[in-house]
Amino acid sequence: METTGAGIPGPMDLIPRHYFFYTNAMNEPFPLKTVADTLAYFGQNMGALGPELQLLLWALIGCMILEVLLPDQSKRLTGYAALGGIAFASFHLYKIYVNGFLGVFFNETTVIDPFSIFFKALFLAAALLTVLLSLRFMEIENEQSGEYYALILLATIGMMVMVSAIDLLTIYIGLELMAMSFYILVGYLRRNRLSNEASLKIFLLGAFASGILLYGFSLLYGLTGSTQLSVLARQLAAAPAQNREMIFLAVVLVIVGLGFKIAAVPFHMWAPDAYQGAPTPITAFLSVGSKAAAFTVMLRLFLGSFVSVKGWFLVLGVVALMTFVVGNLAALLQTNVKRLLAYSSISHAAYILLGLLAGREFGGIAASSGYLLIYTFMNFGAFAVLILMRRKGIPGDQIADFNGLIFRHPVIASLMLIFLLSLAGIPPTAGFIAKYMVFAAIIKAYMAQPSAMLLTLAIAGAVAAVVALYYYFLIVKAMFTGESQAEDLPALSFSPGVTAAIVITAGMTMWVGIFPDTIMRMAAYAASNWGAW
Amino acid sequence: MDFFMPSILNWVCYLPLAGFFLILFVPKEKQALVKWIANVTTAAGFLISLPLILSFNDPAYIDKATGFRFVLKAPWIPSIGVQYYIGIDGISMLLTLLTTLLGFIAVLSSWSAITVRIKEYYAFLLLLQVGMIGVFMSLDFFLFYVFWEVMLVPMYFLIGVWGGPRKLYAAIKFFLYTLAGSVLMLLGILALYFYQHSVSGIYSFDVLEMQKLGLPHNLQWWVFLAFFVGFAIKVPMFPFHTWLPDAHVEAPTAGSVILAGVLLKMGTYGFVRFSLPILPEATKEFLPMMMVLCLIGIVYGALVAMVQKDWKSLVAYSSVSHLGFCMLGVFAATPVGLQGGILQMINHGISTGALFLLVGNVYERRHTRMISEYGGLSHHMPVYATIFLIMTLSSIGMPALNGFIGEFMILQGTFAQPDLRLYAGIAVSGIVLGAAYMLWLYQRVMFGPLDKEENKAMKDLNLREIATYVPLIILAFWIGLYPRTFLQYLDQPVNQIVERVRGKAYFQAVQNPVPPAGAVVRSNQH
Repeated sequence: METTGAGIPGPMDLIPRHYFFYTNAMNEPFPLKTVADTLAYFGQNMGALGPELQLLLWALIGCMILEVLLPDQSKRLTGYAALGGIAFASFHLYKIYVNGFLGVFFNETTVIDPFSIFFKALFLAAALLTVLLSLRFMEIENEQSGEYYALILLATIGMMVMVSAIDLLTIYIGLELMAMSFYILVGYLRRNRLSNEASLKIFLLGAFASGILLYGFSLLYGLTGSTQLSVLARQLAAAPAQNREMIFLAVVLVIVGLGFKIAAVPFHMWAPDAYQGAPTPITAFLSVGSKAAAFTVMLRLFLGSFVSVKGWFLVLGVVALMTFVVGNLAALLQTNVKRLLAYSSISHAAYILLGLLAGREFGGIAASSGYLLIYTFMNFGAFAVLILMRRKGIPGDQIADFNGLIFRHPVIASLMLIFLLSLAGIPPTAGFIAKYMVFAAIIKAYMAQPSAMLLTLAIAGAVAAVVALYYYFLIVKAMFTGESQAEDLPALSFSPGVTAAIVITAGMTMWVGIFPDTIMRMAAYAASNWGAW
Repeated sequence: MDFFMPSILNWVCYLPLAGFFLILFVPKEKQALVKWIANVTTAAGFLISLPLILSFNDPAYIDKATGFRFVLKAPWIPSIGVQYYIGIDGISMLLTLLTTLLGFIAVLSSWSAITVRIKEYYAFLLLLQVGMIGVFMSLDFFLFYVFWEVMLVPMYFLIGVWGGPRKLYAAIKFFLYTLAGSVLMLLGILALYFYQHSVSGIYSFDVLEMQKLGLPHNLQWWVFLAFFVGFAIKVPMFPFHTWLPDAHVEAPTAGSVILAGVLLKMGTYGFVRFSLPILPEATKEFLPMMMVLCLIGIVYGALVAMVQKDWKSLVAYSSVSHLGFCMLGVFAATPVGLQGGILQMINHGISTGALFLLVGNVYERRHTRMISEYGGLSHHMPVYATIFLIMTLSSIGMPALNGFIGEFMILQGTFAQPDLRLYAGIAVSGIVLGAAYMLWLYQRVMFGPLDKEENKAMKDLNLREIATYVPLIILAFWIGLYPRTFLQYLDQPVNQIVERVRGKAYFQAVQNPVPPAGAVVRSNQH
């Protein structure tokens, strides 16, 4: 790995070795003089976008056109089309991984590196689980339609663009594609007032945050004359002293913009309402996918381009501390499980920030990546159980709705127990491994460079784990010791999709908890060759 | 036997897990079957753990490099150097046997005490058993931590579902306290782990390797504090003890037995296995503070026990006092004191475990634990009264019973260290107070007129209930009359720990005391 100076990524040295669809790829900037040249250029670079293109194809043709053609009662087929798109995209991604199709594409705006492969797999997994959870849920809500699944796929494309982007504008395009899709998805239950409110809230605040982020980006462009992350890193390191304040301001604006997406305190106001109002599968997708995508950008920016900038460490450290405090304390008071999981999701963001703050040399990237992957499974598992509780005429999202679940559905209650233990970080579940990885990174960083902030963060994380256990166990308490409700409740809404999602997530949660080696290797892979473009 | 003996620790540890899965697949209507599975599994678990003591000195099973027995080692998470590494020495062997025995007794004692949700109850008891045994066997810190946490969940449910009126409060309090300690402990473990890597270049959680590290003073200080919080909450030592009375009083009988008998020992065991040998300098530095906390625990626990109106919470507070004695012996860090401290852990498991069982017996009959509700029970329940007397005397340290040996060794060991004599002197008062509250309890409950109508109908112990006490009574007398059977296994590990804390010079000084000035040294001339 070639670097120029301490920790600053140098020019790319990842050469594409095998080509998947197109046999001639270029690495140098290509003079695009004629239409034919342009077409050839895109053709040569398209292989890098294989998974995204597959998703786009299936979203537009599979979901949207089927939506027009199908009669109302079989709209569910559009969901299967989305599953097909995810399957083909996964296959593409797999080929990219196996063939080592790594490199920089599209005039140095897009990169395929282990980090992006890891997260694209994560986004595809999240999209798969979302669709599985939606098939029956949207039927109960009477909102089954093709646009819904198409939007899920489009949001996924946005996330995949974000993680591959190494240019501020590409990042922004991906982010907006994802955000726009979510604005609609969150408000998809048109007849539900909470859903409408959620949509308006996430739209207004989200647009505002995007504006701030863009302002930060434009300042960075003005200061460095480039939107490319690698150039940015070099220019910021060499910036004259009188620009320091302006650079800091730009970085803070970026923190605000991205802090909104990861729902870190104090930019979290939208999260509980949006999570509660959104269709439950979208809540899960929002809390996992959107968060993970924003984190990939944060990792790329702060541990790649901004390493030489002073001051962001302290700002993000304080943000993480506030997130621990507010996220956990507010969760204690919730009676609605969706809101509770929203606050829990806020406090999980703080743990992932710990990985970022530990830094790249101390395994911080691997820790954050691994945490996000594990969080995907355990969080989707908890939401899957919540979706089972949604029956015709019963919202099923209050803690009281879980009362005595163990008597009526012992298996589901036990699985929910596993998900909640995992969210709380109790071994032998995957959540413990996730917590272990971020704690290990932060302690390693502290041992190497002792600072009061790192120690405070580590202890805050430890205390937060204890507080978190309390509110997760509010649900456990209801399930195992609550008085069982009336006998004539309708049965839980089992469907093949939800069952498959629960089996996948519960299996991963236990398997990763007991045999964590694979996930640790995957996380290490994600952090390998990092920033070598 | 080849498939069994070399991997005996796996069998002992995971047999209850097999029982757990078996129970999961039994329909919950078949209550008798569930009970039988649990009883047979734990009884078998105790029987297959007996070879641990019988073949303890069999050279075939001794690991030459470390001196540990029945060692099993396999990579578990190679990417961060975690091993599945289990093995036992004398200390963990005795505690493992105590666990398997008390686990069986707890299951047996629940036969008629638990009437609701029987399947879940036994499943959780068996799961708990796996976690506890694993804690005592682990020689890898990561593995230790996993087992340590695993057992919190079943204990939460045992208290929270089958407990008394304030069960939910007690259960979550227990969970949160212990978790708070253990998460901080995890940070300490990680600090050790990365320090070891910086010294040796190897990522490893091997406890025995960590014991060889000479940690810098500053790091020892911090790690000791982290471990202290984790273990002291579990023991529990004085300022952290408030979860214990709640948990004990609200837990079902079997839960209390396990809690007092085994769970508390995990804290003391943690100090003995990790804090002392890995952090010897910090141990010496914190010694006065620890001694003071022990003394507060001893005296305060005893005083509070004396004024309890609830029989069970009296026994619970007596645990605080007794565990103070254990910790006193451990932190005296002399061979005799440490041996006494470890033996007292076993003793406390036997006598307090039995006392909780005894409370459970009358509670099952009368559904009250208020001492004032009883009186004159000895008239109708002679067998019960006899067993209660034996266990009371054992608890207060009557010679010829186990408690005496433990307390005597602890006090002797503490007194042997000149700078600790004052502490030993104060600790003696705890024994007097102990006799006071236990005998007074006995007097109020057993003697006097049998004036309550409800008490007259109470039946004496049945055969199953007596069976739960037989092994405990035998052990109480055995340790009281011939402790050498058990102490012999403690010599070697205890001396190693003392050597780590006090240095090699300590043993030389004990073996060859410096003669007083002017004394004539006699030489052996023939």
